[in-house]
Amino acid sequence: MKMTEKPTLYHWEPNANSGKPMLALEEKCVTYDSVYIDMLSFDQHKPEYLAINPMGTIPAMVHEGRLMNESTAIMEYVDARFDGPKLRPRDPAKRWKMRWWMKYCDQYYGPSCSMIGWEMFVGPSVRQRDPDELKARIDAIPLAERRIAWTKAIYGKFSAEELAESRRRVMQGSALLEKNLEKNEWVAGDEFSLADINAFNLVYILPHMAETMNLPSVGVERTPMTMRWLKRVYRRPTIRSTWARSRGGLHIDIDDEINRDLG
Amino acid sequence: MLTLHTNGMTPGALAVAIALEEKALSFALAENEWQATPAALAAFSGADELVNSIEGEFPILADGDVAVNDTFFILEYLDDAYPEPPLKPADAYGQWKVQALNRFLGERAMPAVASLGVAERFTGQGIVDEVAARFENEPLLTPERRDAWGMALRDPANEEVMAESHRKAALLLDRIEGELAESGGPWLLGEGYTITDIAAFALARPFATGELRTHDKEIGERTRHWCARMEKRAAVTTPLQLGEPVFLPAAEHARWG
Ligand SMILES: N[C@@H](CCC(=O)N[C@@H](CS)C(=O)NCC(=O)O)C(=O)O
Repeated sequence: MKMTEKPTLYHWEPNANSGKPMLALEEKCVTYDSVYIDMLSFDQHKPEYLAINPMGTIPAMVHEGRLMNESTAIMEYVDARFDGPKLRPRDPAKRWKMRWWMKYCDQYYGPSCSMIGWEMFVGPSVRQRDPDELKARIDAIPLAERRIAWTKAIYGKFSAEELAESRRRVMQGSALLEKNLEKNEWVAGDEFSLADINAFNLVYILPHMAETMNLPSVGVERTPMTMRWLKRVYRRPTIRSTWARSRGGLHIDIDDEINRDLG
Repeated sequence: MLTLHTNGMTPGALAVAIALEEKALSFALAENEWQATPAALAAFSGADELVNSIEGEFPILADGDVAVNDTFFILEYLDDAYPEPPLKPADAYGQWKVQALNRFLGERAMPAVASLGVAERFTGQGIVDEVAARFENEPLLTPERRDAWGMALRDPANEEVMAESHRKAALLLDRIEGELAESGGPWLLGEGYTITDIAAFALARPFATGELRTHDKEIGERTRHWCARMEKRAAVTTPLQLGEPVFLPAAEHARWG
């Protein structure tokens, strides 16, 4: 293998968009320098970080002097650039399917799930801070879309209508994934791929949201094949090594998941 | 045997046709009336990915037994399945750049261009309620696609959507100009011509021809020259003659992102 410098990954908790390149790097057996960006302290909008990633989003990766953002595109880079197990099918149609599902997760299923999480968790966990500080934090966000997201989360401004729509979409996305997993062992077909990494980073939390958030989207009854698939992913040693970088935000026991009774 | 299925020469369909020409692949064009979109989609109803597209129903490219959708992923598919001539950089960083740009084009630019185009096309056309209702009640379409069609036909120039579309169209023109300045041209990534040139051209062209305009934003010098270079390519000239450019409701504007 060509000697290549270690990449540096700027990430938050090993889930959602941050978890995607983390898990991909781990699956490729690439060692990397990890820089934890605490999203709830707004590290991602501080000048030090904006100098690295002007979009102010996490994750971002620097490799060979080049900055990359967009977690899904970073994952493809990781697979293309480093030796190790192939994480993209060679067959063009399967590769297309992998990309289709990643977009579905990134732009439909994931954002809906995220809106609910921000309303229930992100907003309340920063809301009680000094109002002037919060306003200054919001003003410092570079992307208009993220400014809106934070404003809504902090001031509790998600409408009942948009939350209901997000819930509907999480139910719909979960049903479609289930249908896909009835026919396929992995999301893009018969091989583990970036699409599994992508989907796992959003779906793993859903069985836990069934009761706490009254959102029964993924569970033994409704989506048995998804539950089996989750188990298959949890059994990969890379989940453990990736989650070891959590600073306490995940609250899920991997052994419990592996031993979960699926009836 | 390759068949490009469309419901009109939308920017997405144009991009795919250009890529097919660049690859020197002969293909059949199966063009459906936009009013017949659901019926045309029904032919693909066996594939969940084809009926749950968030970009819109068409284009779909059929390649033998395989059928693929989503403009940017069709372009990737073509380059994966028919590697010559290559339309992506050989190095991983160049590929990242193509994908990051395509993400921007698909998520931000395409909904804006489609909304501005739909406003031009459908405002004052007196689209009868009956047509809108047909889309809104079409069981094959996903709820968000039913909404997208209903909204486009009943309220094509919705004020909020227009404001958001003008903002994003300006981002598109800025981004193209910026990329060309950074790479030094002649193409978006520099010396190598890629699927991103194709995808971006299909979206930016209406602003160069004057078909669409966006508030407070003129198309840049570099972008104008780049568009002219694109228009001169044989693989671009031919598809431009395949049909009048049209606009139809594409992916919704991101609700969260
Ligand atoms: N499309 C981007 C989205 C990145 C993104 O929005 N990440 C969220 C965290 S999952 C973020 O940066 N939030 C920080 C903020 O909103 O300030 C990607 O996939 O990397």
